[in-house]
Amino acid sequence: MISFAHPEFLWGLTALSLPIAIHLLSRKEGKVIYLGSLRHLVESNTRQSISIRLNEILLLILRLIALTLLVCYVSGLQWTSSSGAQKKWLLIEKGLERNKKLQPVFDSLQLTGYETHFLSSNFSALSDSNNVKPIVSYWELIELLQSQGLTSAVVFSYNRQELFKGTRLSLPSEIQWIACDNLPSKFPVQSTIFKDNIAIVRAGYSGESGTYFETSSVTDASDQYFKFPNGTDSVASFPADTLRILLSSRDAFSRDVNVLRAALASLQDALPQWHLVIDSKPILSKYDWIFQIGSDSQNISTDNRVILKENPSVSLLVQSGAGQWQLTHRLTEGIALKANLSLQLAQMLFPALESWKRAALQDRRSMDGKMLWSAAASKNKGPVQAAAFTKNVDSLLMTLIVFVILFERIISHHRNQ
Amino acid sequence: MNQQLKELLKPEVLNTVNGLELVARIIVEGFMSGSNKSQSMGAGQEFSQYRSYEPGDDLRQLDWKMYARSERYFIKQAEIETNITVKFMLDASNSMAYIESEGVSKLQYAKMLIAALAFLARKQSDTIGLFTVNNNHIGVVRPRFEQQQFMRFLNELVNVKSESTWKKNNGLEHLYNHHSKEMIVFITDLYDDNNDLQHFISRLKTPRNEVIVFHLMGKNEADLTYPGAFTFEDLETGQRLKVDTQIQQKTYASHMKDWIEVSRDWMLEKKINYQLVVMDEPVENVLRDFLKVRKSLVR
Repeated sequence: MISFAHPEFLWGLTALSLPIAIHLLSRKEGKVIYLGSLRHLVESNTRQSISIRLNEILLLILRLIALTLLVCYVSGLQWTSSSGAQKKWLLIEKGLERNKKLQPVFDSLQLTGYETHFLSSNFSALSDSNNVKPIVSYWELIELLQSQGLTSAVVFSYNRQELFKGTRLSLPSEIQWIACDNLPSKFPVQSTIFKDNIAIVRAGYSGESGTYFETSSVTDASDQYFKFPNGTDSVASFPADTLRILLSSRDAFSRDVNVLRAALASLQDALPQWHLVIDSKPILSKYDWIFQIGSDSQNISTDNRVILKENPSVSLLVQSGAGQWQLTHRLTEGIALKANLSLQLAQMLFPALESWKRAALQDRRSMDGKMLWSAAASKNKGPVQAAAFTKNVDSLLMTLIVFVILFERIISHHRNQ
Repeated sequence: MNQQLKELLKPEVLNTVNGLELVARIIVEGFMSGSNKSQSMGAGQEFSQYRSYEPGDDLRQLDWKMYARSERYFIKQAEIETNITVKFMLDASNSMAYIESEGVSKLQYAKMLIAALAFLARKQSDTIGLFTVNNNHIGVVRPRFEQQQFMRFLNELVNVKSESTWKKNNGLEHLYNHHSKEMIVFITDLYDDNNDLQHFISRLKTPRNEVIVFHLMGKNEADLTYPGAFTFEDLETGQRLKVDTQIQQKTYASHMKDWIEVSRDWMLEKKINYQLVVMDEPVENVLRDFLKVRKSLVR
């Protein structure tokens, strides 16, 4: 399709009237030679005068063409599609293609010549829904889209917050980005089954503005998996996991131990799927965690060990090696509150699990519209991109102009003889 | 052509009296020795030879001193110095404004030729007169032998403009003089209507005078060697013709040749000296050739 970078220069086309005016006004009969007498000459008719007139018309046409080309060149002619047909894409993020509300919009766009593709890094066609690569970053996708040389693109996207990664770009003018609200979803993250089909279910709620989690108990749950009555997602139910913890201490540290015990108790409340076994004397042969508060219990085997080693300048819990942690402060209620002891303990005791990944998959937070595109960059990026598109046309135009002017000169030279 | 003269052959030089005189002088100086002294012998200032007295000779011409020395009668002979009147006539019609390839126009060329010839004539104490003719104006400088004559002559010559056509419907009677011995130099391009010029030239010739016609002709004009197609405009009538010279060149050149032949023939018939001057030839060469021919023609 033809378009112009600087359409205001098209006013230069009015200059076309100049050669036409010159042609009409000058009744040129070639060079006039004044002779003493014409007595020995006869009119050379038709052939020559016709050829002169043809020559004039040819010259006029050449000049008009040269002027037009020049104006096109100055006003930045752009040939935005190599094949001549327009290349228009409709891009739909996977999941939106079955959206009932958007279906009429998709249909009408397809009728006006838009090809439908999935918004993915390989831009697979709509029929090829199995071959959709996951999106890494929307901004990366926009760069990919620009390289496709599209006339126009309409993108329907969830604007998923976690997919805006990398350098923030400006939205190119040929791309229209339409954000669709992701319906908030409620999904089970973890289900822990207890006796009598009682399950403790951790459920996530994710919507536009954020994601949060809730724990609830369900009475008549199946012992295999858990599923919300109207939901599609299910999660396998497992019995509660046991975490064995030894709090080994001397009497002088009983206050610290109490604070620790309270923090662990609060964790037990919050995380019913874990069963915390907390001993103050070594009963079992092996513990998952041993907290050594001022005592020595090196002989008891454990996976992880926390040792009190005062160092006021660093944070409360510091990992010093594989399975080795240091408690750097004596614990009081004040310090525990200030340093958020229970949260730190939870991070330490319960590393990222499968359920966390499930939650991440269901993340439906979307990016605020104001944050999407870089406004500052758009001024610079736009014309540069346009120049890249028109480069070929420019050189072609230049060659044509030179060629036409050369031709015009040759013909005009012949005429004058 | 010498370089000095070449630089002077510009309209701005030729259009002033002094410039024209200078040009004429330079042209003539090259062959000042070639004068047209009469070869007939008789009484005069310059001694030539003695011959024996024969009965019937004028006794006044008898050289008595010679008789005293030799007791024979000798007639003293001297070269007769002939003072003739040279009338220059110039066709000042507009066709003489023809300029060939940025050179001088026919009129300017004619002016140079006349000035040079007049300069020569003055040197030989001949009387010079000038007649310039076109349909609007007839310029006359009557032949006189005066100190001022040459300047008056040049002044008139310089101010001649080429305009209009050759004089139509007679009115040139006062130019004819059938009485005195004279030489008439007529410079023209021979372009006329209804053979006006032919009639005029024919009437100029009398048994007593000598008429020389310089026919000025451009090189391109003679051969139509303008490449390509042009519009030609007649300088006198303003008529225009579109002509493809390539096509017409041959016929044109042969027409031209025929015309020149015809002109030469009828002039020869009337004992008029016809000189074709092709303008790419320098003036002094034309003059030199002309004088050479003339000298050999003299009795």
